[in-house]
Amino acid sequence: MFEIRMGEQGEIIMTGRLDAAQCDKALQFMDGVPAPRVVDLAGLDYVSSAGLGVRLKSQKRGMASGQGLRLVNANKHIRDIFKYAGFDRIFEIVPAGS
Amino acid sequence: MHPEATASVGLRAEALLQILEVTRRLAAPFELAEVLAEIGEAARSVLRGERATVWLFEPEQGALVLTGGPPGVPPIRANLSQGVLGLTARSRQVINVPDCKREPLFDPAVDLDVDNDVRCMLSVPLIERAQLVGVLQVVDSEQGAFSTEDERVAETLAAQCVVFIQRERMSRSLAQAEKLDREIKLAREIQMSTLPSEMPQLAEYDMAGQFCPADETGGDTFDLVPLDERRLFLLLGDASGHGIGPALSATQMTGMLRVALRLGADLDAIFAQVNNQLVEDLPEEHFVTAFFGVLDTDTHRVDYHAAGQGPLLHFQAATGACRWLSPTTFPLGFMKFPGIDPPHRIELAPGDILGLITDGVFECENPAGTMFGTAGVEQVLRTRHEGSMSDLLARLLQAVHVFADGHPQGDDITIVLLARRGETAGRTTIQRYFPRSLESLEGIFRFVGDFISARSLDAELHMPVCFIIEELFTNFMKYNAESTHDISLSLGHTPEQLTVRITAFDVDSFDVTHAPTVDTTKPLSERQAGGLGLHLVQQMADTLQYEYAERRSTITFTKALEAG
Repeated sequence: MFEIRMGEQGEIIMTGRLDAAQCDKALQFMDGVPAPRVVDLAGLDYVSSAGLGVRLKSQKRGMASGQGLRLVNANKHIRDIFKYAGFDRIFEIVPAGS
Repeated sequence: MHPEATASVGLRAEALLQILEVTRRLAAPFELAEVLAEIGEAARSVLRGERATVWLFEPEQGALVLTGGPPGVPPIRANLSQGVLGLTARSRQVINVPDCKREPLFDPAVDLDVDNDVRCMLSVPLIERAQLVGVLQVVDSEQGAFSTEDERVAETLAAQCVVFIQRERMSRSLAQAEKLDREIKLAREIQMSTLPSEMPQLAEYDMAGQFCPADETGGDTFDLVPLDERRLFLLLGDASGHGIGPALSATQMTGMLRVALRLGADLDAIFAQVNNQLVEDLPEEHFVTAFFGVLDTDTHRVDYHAAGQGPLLHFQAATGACRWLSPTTFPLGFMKFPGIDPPHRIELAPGDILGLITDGVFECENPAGTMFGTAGVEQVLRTRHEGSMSDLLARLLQAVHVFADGHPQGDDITIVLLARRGETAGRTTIQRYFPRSLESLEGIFRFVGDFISARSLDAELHMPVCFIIEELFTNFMKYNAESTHDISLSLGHTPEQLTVRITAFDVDSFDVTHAPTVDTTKPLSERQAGGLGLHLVQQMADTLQYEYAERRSTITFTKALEAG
């Protein structure tokens, strides 16, 4: 199961598993949000490389408008993947609990 | 020339108008009795006779039948040798009898002379497309005898009547056929609804089952019922005959089995009880061939009874040979078993396949009259036994279809295939097939999770292993989209490492270990999403190997396990 929605502070909240089957859902949602700033990953268990593609696209869009994406509450697995992908140099990644 | 065309020339206008009026009236009723009554009345009035009767010809009995008497009076039957009536039918000519008393052929019993007072008669055959439909008889003309013009009027009228009789008969048989079609369709739906909607999942086993109905309802069925975590009940049945009956017998058997299993009955008891019940319920000439078996995934044994059901297929991977097993006893529903022999047993080695196949496959005929037979099955198995069972099943059905070469499917076809997987003995390796669809990802995720938790491996491995598998799986989907084979995923481990093998069949070579990857140090504006996944796979896997042979791509990767 993968869920994506807007939080009360205008942050985007993702929960569940973001695999290749769920990317269209995520992309559609992200495209419909005017200027995403913060993505809360506290409830996200898993992200695949296709899921990374979603972030990359959002980030390019955000940077074009002068705003980067902040990923908060990422678990270890997700942080590792972002690190392997070199995304830690592009996104501001805040681990869970800080 | 058409009879109407000749007859209508020179008819008196009054008679023509009356015939047209009859035609108009006959267009309305649909009940045969009404049609016949209308024809009789029309003939009487147009020909100005005293009475008129319409006999219908029944070709199966070679007899003429008169219905439409008072209620409760059975129809009168006459054979074609009797009276003027019989002569009319045999000669297919209009017979005008001016004086019945002097006509030696006249037979009061069939020529409707109940009170022995008939004076004259006009007897007219009802013919359509050279086939006798019936005979119209009119007696006692107002004018003393029927004229030659009356003969022609009668012929014209008869031609009209035949059309309506045939229309009524046709619409009746159509309505019956439609009703039967609806009932058969309903029986089909009931029959289909008792089949398993999805295959049970059992560690180390891959299975597939399918029922392909023939045009007419037949009596095939199958069921796969997990008894507990390690045992599976297998049923395959084929009720004799065609029509709704066999479908119901098959459905009944599935129902009995489910109830018996719920009550905790064992294989022998179920087999005996189902037989005894069928003996009581089935009509005498009917029977059901059936396979009742229980697979134990711990011992890899299938204990079974095969009542007239065979040959059963046991493909032995070690030798590549097919063993064909005979039924163990006579079909169900004949008579009660005097006593039950112990079940027979099949031992499944890794790679072995058990095939339950109804005779619709073996007896499938091509236009030359040759049967598909066990040889046809063996030929498909030779090249396809390593693939998934759903793939093998599809190949078998395809082979049967190609073999039949347009010859219609005469019988239901049902195939249940069960394969024992695992390349090494014991439980260190498990394998499963997944369809080429993103929807498989959730199942893969669970499959990996179950493997890791069942073997108490490091739970931290779950995410990275799934990440790598998802990447490889979706790559197989993307780069060989034309392949229809399921993708095989096997998981194994030693104390030191976890080994994952993923295989795609019937594909071109695509070496992931040499795929171009991305430079992750590049600025974002210069980076694309593509290639990133394979780069990550190379980063995350401890070892990564690619093999390509016989149009099979196999990728094997390992992750080290923490000691302890």
